[in-house]
Amino acid sequence: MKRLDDGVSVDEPRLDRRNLLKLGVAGTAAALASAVPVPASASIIRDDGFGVVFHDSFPQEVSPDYKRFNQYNTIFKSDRRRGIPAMKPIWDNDRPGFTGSDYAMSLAASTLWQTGKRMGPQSMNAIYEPGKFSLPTPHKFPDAATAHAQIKRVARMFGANVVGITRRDERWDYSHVVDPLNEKKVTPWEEHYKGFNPKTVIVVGTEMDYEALAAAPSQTADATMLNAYSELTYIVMHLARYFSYMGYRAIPSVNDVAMNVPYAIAAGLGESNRMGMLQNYHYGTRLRIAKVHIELELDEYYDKPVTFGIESFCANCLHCADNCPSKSISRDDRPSIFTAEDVKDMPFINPGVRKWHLNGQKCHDYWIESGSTCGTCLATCPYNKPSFWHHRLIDRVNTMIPGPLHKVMAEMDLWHGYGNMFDEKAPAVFWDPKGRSYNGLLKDY
Amino acid sequence: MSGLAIFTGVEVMFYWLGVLSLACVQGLVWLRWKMQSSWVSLAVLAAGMGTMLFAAAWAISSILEKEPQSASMSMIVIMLPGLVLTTLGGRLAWK
Repeated sequence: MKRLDDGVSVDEPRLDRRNLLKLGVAGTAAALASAVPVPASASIIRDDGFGVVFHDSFPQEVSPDYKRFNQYNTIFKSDRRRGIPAMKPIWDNDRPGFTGSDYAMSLAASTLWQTGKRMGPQSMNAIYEPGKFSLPTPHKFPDAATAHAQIKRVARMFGANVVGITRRDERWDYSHVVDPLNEKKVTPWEEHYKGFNPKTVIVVGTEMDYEALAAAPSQTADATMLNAYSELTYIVMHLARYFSYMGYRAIPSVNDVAMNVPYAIAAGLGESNRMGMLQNYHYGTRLRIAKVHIELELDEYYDKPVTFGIESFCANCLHCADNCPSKSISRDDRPSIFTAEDVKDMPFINPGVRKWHLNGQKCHDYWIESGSTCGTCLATCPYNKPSFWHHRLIDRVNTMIPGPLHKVMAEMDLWHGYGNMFDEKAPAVFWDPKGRSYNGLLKDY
Repeated sequence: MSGLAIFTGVEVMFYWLGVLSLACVQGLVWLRWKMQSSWVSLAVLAAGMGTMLFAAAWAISSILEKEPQSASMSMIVIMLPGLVLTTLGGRLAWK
């Protein structure tokens, strides 16, 4: 047992001889079971199908009573109205991951993200209008396929790791938006963006540094999260400018304007996980997302929502819920649809979509208490791995095996030394210069 | 780990695993040709050697990733069954 700062305890796997023997038997059993053809009853375990499944419509059930979410009710906005900041970073030179250097790196990483909100007509969340150097008439792509290819190539060149294109879906736009510079100014979406009628949403994602995130919760981990937001700010501002130079109006945004996760799911970038966040196939939870609303309408939208067994895996894994220091993550067996009655004391939850629901209040309270943005759930997730062939192999295997074996895989992840949170040695791994090439004379790894 | 400042550690590893795989195949051919070993024994031996090569690849990759516990576990969970299969196949094949 390991005691955490707040007295919450987590179980740690013991590695004695008896457990090693059990593990050997479990490993052999898993290998043998993997070779057995999947029975028809496996559909009970994975309702969405087998392997990577493409869907023609939004893959999560949405209640007919669903209402657009008001940005005013997000936990950050409601806490700010109570005088609680979004983050309350701390430093302590005697504490790994919280030294002055970690602290400064974390704050510095947010530079562009913070600046991007204060750039006048070029700000984030503002409509980028075609200007003096824009094409006199909006550029016409020869066909939708070319448009997809070129837009994605541009996004990649600007730095996006993943990009998807989807139709605008008003359900995922906030019903009301909060002015980022004036928290008390709340206006209906259609009034705030009067005359702007976007048809398409480009969703981009950028990865966080694996070793930095592994140090969660700490300023080291915060730095990669904030750095990803700054990178996203750069990407979506440039992407919005790309569209405005082509003659289309566009709005770049990170966490404002609309909800990122459903748009990312609709654009085929991943599946919803136990944390209620996006689980990307390649980057797992180690991804931050942003989007650009544009007026350009395509004849066809090729990116389809995908599922690849995350619901089954999350139902069997629970590492995020086990490691969450504030116990904010649901331990329910399966996702559910909350009604308005269910969330009457939790206005920060938007009811009407089948998912696992995160208690954002408990989560944010811990952010403030710990002096970090936590991120323990993201870092402990077995899908959060660096890009090595054996992790890609396991990801592939996980899409094909039935639920009970997901439990085995989740346990094996712990036995292999992953998912160990509150690890005071993790920041040292991040800072260790050994094996890195900074002058380009050698190749890393 | 870097090979001649040109290749990454993973690239160097897969090169040498390729060399080892070729040696394994040559060994199997030799056993069939010279020792007239049965196909069943060769299949068991091939499975064992393949498993051991996979374990080696996993372990080296884990070390490059700075996860030594994963390397140790691959030795126990993958290498040991591979060793058992290789020993069994070898004894069957070596008449």
